[in-house]
Amino acid sequence: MHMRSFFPSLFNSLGNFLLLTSFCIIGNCYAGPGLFFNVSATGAPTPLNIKLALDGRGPLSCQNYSVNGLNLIINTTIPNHIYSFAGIKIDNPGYRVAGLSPIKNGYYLFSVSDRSPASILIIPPNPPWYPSLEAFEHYNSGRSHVFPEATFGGSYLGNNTVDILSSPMVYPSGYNMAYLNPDNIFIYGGGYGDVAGSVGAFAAKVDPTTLGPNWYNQLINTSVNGEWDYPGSMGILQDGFIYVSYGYRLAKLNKNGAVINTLILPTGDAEPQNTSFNGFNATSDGIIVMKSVYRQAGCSIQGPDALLNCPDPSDVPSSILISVDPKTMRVIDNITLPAPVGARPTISAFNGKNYVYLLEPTTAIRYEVNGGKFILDTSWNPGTITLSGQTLCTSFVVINDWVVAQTNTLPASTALDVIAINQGDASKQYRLQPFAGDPIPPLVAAAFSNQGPGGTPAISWAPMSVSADPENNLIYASDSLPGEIAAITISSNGLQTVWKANQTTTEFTTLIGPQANRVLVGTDIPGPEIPGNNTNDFAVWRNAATGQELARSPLLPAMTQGTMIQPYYNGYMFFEGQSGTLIKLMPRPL
Amino acid sequence: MKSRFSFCCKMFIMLSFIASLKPLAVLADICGEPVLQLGWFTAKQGKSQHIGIEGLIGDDFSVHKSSAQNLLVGVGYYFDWLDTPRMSIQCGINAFYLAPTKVKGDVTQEGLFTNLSYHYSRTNYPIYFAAKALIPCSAHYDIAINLGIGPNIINARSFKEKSLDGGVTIPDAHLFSGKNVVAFSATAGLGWRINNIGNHSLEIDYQFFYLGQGKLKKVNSQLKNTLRTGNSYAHALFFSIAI
Repeated sequence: MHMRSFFPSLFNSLGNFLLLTSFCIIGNCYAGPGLFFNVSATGAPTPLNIKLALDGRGPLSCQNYSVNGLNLIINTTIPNHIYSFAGIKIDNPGYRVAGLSPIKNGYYLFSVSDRSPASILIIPPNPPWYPSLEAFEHYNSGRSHVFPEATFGGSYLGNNTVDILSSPMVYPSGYNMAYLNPDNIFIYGGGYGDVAGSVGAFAAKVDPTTLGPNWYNQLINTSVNGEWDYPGSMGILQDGFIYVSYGYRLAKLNKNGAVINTLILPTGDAEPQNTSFNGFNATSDGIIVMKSVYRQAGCSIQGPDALLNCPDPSDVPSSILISVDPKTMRVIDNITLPAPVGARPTISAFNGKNYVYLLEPTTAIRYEVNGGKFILDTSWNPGTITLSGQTLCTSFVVINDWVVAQTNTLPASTALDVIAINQGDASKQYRLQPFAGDPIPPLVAAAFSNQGPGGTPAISWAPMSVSADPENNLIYASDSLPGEIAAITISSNGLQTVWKANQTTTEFTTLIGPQANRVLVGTDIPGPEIPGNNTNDFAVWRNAATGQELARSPLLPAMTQGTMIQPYYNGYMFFEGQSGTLIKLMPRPL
Repeated sequence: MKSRFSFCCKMFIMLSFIASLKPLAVLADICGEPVLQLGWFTAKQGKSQHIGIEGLIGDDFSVHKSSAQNLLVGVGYYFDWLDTPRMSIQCGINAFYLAPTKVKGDVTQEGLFTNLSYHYSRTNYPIYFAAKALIPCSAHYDIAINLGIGPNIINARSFKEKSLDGGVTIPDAHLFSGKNVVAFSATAGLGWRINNIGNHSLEIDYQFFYLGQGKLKKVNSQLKNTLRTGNSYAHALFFSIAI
């Protein structure tokens, strides 16, 4: 530092002034305000307020944007510069960015430039489930089976192959998976006591790279105590705890596999050893809802076989419906339903209320769930919905203002109906028989020649519920006997078939990918094999809009019947072989 | 408004404290001449500059309000060093407080978009080893020539950005915080002294200050450089009372 004399400093100042003036004229002094980003939003109209930062870490150089859609294409307006740590923060509570984790300041980081746009998928809140790709067996309480964060690893043009990675046989009759994030993934299974090696419910943490277990907690051994081993389910609520229902118990585990609490549930008019709460659901405010099914008293048959092969499977008490506070692990309400109810409960938040929808043998009912208390809604009465020769429906699936189910959970002599009932007015109903009259492969027809009600020939069997894509207004139904799946649209004209494809499955279908490129994933039993007794499956990816097959796996061992191919991150999926093998499916373009 | 009130309070407390100690009377009894100064100054400050940001092109900080005025307070103590019929020279210490002044400007982000404005304030506390030459004009009046060099404690603080586009662009919350810097400073000036007002003399002074350069403290690790205040100059008019 040195002292300047007055006059040189004056000249310096003058020089600086002239320089600055020139700079201002030539340079940026006249630059006006402007946006850093161009953002286009597509998909379901959803007004969102977001913040975008040229650097999300600071965050630095941030601007507010309003968009109306969940699929964002973002590029910068600044030429020739790559922003490796651009950031997005969503102001609307509960919304998050698919495939990314926020940093401490709430920004999700991504790379973008003016020539390389970033594709950002925003995931709406899914209360009360943990914000991950899959925290509940069918994604949301409405059981849509749409997993918006999951992607297809192959090309949408087809010409794909599927790589596989198999685990050791350690997860017998794996049922469903739930994730905290890509590294903390959990599997529940063991609920098929009629499958060799299944000795009761287990929960395990899976190493996503090796597929071996990080921990394995055998929650019960029904081969020792003789209790009915029937599939429950696993889910992760917003509190981050893992909840597992099995038999007449609800367990709460932490992510390290330690059981925090096990709630012994009431069993109604049945003995505990013959009671199972087949899965659970939860209201948007976090109340767990469970419903019982029973094995005939005195019958020792294990697994789902008990519902078919006990001397009189219908000789069981009415189901009970209970609500549980997951914080206290205490039962809030316990009511006896009018009849046995087989299908799992479906919950919909409609007109500001939480409703639980249940399917009785020939009709449907709903209860409002208010603070955990059940209030029967007598104003919603769809009447008899099954036809003669049809068997009971599988679980409802919510699609916008409608609840949709398909009949024939058990083999039936009347064609399968897809039935849509309006949530606001139960008298508004649509139905469609998408597979009526379609041929049944001779070997299958022979195998089911006396499986219908009263020993009649069965022409339809659909042990899975439909899947429903509310954004594309499409319902996906399946029937194992004709061996077909169909996409059905719902409009004011009723239900209409969009496409049908030959695919024989006894499992639920999964919907993955963004709205514009939705992909339907399901199993396909190889031709000569009989559904229900098959020893092999393929996994098949289809363009959900057209039915075009996009990818097919190599021949795999049979999947646990009545489950679902589980979506995972990075375009991968998990296939739960009933014998205990967990297979990672990795489709990719050829 | 709040800062002005705060400043007035500080001034009142400081002056009250000084008065309670009666330092001038004490010092006057020793051998020299205590001086109190009060006036007004106008300062030229601020510097257009580029702030590099890791991963970004960076921000250009322009200055559109580089001149600002405020109050000046000084206190000094001078000893007689040379006394001749033509001139007397005093030496001593003279410290000033140049009350806060604001620097304002715009921020052009990524070299393209002027989306934000900014401001910060600067306060100077120069302390000079000073010399004063008094050239008698008559029995009652002297011309005073003042010179001084010494450190200046520069306090730059209260950096804040504001959106220029109706809130679309969000001011960066944590860029710079306050910082004290000691810089070289010098001063020179002329005065007109009126002697024999009671036991005191009153001087009317113009003084030029070179105040040096301060800077703010960068609080974001992604910033490659910090915002500097630029070299500052001030022109002051004030009254000095020698006791």
